Amino acid sequence: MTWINSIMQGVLLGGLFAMSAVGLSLAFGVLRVVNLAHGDLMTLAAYLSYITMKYSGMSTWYSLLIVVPGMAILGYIVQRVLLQKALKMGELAPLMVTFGIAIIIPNSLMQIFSSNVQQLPVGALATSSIQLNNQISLGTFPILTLLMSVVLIAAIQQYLARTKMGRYMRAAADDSEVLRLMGVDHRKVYGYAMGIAFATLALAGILFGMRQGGVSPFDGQITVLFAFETVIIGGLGSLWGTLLGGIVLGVAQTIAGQISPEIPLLVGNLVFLAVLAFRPNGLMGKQALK
Amino acid sequence: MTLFNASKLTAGYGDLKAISEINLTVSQGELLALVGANGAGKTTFLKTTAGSISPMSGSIFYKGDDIIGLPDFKRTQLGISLVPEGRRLFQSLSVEENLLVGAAPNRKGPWNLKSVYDLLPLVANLKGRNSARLSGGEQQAVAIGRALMSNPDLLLLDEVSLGLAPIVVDQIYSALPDIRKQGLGIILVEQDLKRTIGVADRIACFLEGHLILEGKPADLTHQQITDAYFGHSISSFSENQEDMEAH
Repeated sequence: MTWINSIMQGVLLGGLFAMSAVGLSLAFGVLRVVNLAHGDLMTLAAYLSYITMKYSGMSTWYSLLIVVPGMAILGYIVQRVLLQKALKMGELAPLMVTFGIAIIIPNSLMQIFSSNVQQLPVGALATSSIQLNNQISLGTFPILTLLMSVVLIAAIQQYLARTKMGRYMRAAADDSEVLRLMGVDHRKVYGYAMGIAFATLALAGILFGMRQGGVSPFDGQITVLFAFETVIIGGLGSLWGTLLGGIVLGVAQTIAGQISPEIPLLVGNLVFLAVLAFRPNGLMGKQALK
Repeated sequence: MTLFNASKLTAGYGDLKAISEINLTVSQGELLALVGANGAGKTTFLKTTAGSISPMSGSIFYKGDDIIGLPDFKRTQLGISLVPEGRRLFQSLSVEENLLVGAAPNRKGPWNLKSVYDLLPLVANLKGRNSARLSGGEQQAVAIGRALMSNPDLLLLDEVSLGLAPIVVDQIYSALPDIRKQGLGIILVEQDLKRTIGVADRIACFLEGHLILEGKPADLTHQQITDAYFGHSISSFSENQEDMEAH
């Protein structure tokens, strides 16, 4: 029964991993940009949530309503002002830009807030759980996180499938040069895609901080690793593959944690390596963005 | 009325010139066919016109305005639409979604989903199918439909018949008169000389990046065109031209 509990906890954790990876997958799928600052931007969003909470007095949950749209706008601006110019300079330039952002964010946060953990309280949900039997108890917050992840992925998929801008994003993922020849301003499409990517990473960053009880400046270095592993395990370009990748990584980590509390990260990395070795395109890898 | 005018247009890739000092015009409703062997610079000319390639020098006027500094997507918004070599459909989109992306410039005109389906019944029957699962001929028909959806005034068709069965090419060419009824200018790049001579108002022959022959099909002999096409005795060809002019 203990193992079943571990698996179920892993599935719930996987929801959070998937949420953190969706933006990474979208940015790569549409723009072909590997965002090395993904984890640090998650951390930045968590700090913005903390600041909003501190100065407005609202709860962490309500801060989502301000920080997530704010990060979406920031994503659009970063794309149009920084990354768009870098994209013209070749494949390496955007990578270097995101690498630069990944250095600036945590060090700036360190200067402003010190290395102390800043609290992101979950509220009443922190101790709330659903008792399935004597040995299995599922936290309400992790369940909510998984549900939010599923809804988020379904919503993005519907957006890509049913809206004009979503169609342009899928077309850009296929052939951005021809998309421009169809009269579509690709810069706008890229900006919207990055806006969505930033919004999803902001949501994931805040929920990550809430799950851990708070956020510290260099948290992004580990969350970006989870996000990359999730995307690779699930398969680049597949949104539902991202959910599967998150669940596989989450289950691997919680089962490993059951064996020894020191090996979850190691086992997660080994699963990632195994997928790279035997299924390099990931479990549900596709060329197209779906 | 002159729709398009390229003047001393030179373009290429890096330091390599693919076309040099090209002067060409297209009038409204006119079909200009570009012929020439592989590597003659026909596709480069179309790409430079569409804005995919920045020219090294020269100018391009479209409806009287210099468009040389405009990016590709703005040129399409102004009414220049390219059917690229190799079709290049969006593989993860359905046929109808490909057509809808083509309508992005939102220009007014005769072409919409219904009129494109009426023109190309083959495409209508495939509208729900993923474009990656189409034959070459089906893809070409969709690519033409997609370009028409932007309601262009200048349509650039690159290698329409390349790699397609003759019967499929016949079907595609049978749609050309209906497209031309709308009065748009067309620049057609085609390898099939016989077919080109049959549909073109004017023919321009490229050889190694240079425009070496231009005229109406009725004014050119088949031998002149094939000589220019294959680059046979260009000097003697030029001499013949000079002789004819002298007489």
